[in-house]
Amino acid sequence: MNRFLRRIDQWRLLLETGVVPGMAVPGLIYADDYIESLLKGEDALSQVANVACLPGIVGYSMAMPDIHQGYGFPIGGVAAFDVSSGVISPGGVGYDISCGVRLLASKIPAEEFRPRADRVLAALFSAVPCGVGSVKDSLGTKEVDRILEEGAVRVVRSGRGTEGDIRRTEEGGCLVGAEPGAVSPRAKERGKGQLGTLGSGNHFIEVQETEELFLPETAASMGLSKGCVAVMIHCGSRGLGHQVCDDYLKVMGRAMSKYGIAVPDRQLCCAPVDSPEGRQYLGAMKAAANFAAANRQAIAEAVRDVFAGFFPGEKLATVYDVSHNLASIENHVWEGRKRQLCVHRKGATRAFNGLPVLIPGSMGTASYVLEGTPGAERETFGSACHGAGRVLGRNEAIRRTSGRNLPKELSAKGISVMAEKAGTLGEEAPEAYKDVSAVVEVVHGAGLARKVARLRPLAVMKG
Amino acid sequence: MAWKILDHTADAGFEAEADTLAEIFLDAAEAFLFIAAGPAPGDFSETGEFHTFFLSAVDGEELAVSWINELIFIAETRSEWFLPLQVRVSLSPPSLSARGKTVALKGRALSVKAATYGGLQLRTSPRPFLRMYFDL
Repeated sequence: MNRFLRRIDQWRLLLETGVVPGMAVPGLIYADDYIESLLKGEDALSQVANVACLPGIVGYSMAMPDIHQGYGFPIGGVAAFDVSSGVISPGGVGYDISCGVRLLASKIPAEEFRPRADRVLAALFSAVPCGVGSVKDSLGTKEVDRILEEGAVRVVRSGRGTEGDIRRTEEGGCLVGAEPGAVSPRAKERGKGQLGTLGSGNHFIEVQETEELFLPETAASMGLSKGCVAVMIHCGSRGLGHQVCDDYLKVMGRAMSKYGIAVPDRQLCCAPVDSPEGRQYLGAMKAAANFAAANRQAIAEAVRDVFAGFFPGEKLATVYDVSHNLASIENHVWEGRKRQLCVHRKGATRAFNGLPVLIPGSMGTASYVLEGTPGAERETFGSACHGAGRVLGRNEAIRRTSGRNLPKELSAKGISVMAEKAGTLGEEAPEAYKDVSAVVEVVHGAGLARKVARLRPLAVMKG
Repeated sequence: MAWKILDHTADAGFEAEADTLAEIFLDAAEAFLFIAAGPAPGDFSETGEFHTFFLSAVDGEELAVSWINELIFIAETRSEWFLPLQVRVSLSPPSLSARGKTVALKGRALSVKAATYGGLQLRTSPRPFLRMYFDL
């Protein structure tokens, strides 16, 4: 595989066609030498090559520097398909549709938070259910449909949030064209008790301190103040989104022969964007994305309730809320021509010029706020990375951390941590991930996004 | 156990080989339960309520994925594990009937989002074999 990999410059690798039969375009991987060294033996490169085989792909099958093995598409993958001749693939979005990040900023000095960290963490644990299958108050079918249609707007209009939250959420917290009717009763059944719940695995709520400002004016315009507390929320559409993905993998799998499509990996099954199956999936995916935005809105409100108990009168204002698992119909100029494209970002963040890009790190390391650039719009259909990206499998991470007291190690660094399941801490240990600063340096150096601020963790709640 | 855990950079999988397809599907349920929540809770045959369900699919691979995703659905929506006692599997046409007991999750965290088609392999000869990865 690596013989097909050619370095273009300090930040870019080209994966030449020919790796697998049927590649319509080359692969383009954003990686410096450090990231490249981690790609050896990774199936992620094969996945980049497989995506390049899908009908109607435009430009390159891309991967951001947080690339690692996923299912069908690699994590960190970006692929755009011509709307008139290309496809949409549920596997290009993933099971956790519109998994994403919300960042809240406050003027609370970090030194005022530290003595209260453990108590705040315990209160967050009580306020936000976590673990897969965690449930809150069950919603009726009509209310689920309203949320699928209106997204975060529905939560705000019910009194849980502000208009500012909506303004600072990608697409205003409500994807137009969502089709609740395209979401199966089974998916709604899974979702009805999960609004306002965190989920498991790498989902988290993290209290952070804004540690360094790279662009102070931009940071100030986002509400970030050096030395003050911010709260990052990472979660998605929960079981509802997982079910939508599973349902449409079946639909697409059955439809492919009708359209004469063959794929090298069943998880890449797809249908033309402009087909009944493609349109139906897009409507269902948007509905699930609205559920995810509503979920992060509900969690943000629960976090605000907790903070109000400890820091009366202090506000937690939304900096931004952005998805990193989504397919989106967008207009881009490619090779001098205006194109309407279906851009799949699976573990990749939209990075349109001037918009915030939120990059969570691992449990014990920094997170970053970036700003999208014209470079991203020219080169990656307006996309950047979504996180650090794993380097160790979960079992390997548990093996390597066996016998260590991770909470104690993190506490020594001034980080309080609580997890629903003890094993999660091992799975999510900092060494299970790439160096987030190195990942961010690649997107910054490649001109896809500019560094605005670095945040360090103070307290971490893991699902 | 007749199955083994497989590593994956982000997630986990298993592979199993057995004498019959039914045994493979029972192994899959056991591997899923292990990955999702750790070792199975002792002797469960004396507890829980009987539950039966039926699945059909376009092929054996879809049937295998649907089988595990049904277990996830039950766990998420009823807060119960389905512990299969008997599974009948046919590939012509692809269908499955399962009879087992459901037991309360009792606070055990479930950490599997879905069974996937990524890297999926189902063979019927020379011996039934299944490899499957889960999205965690």
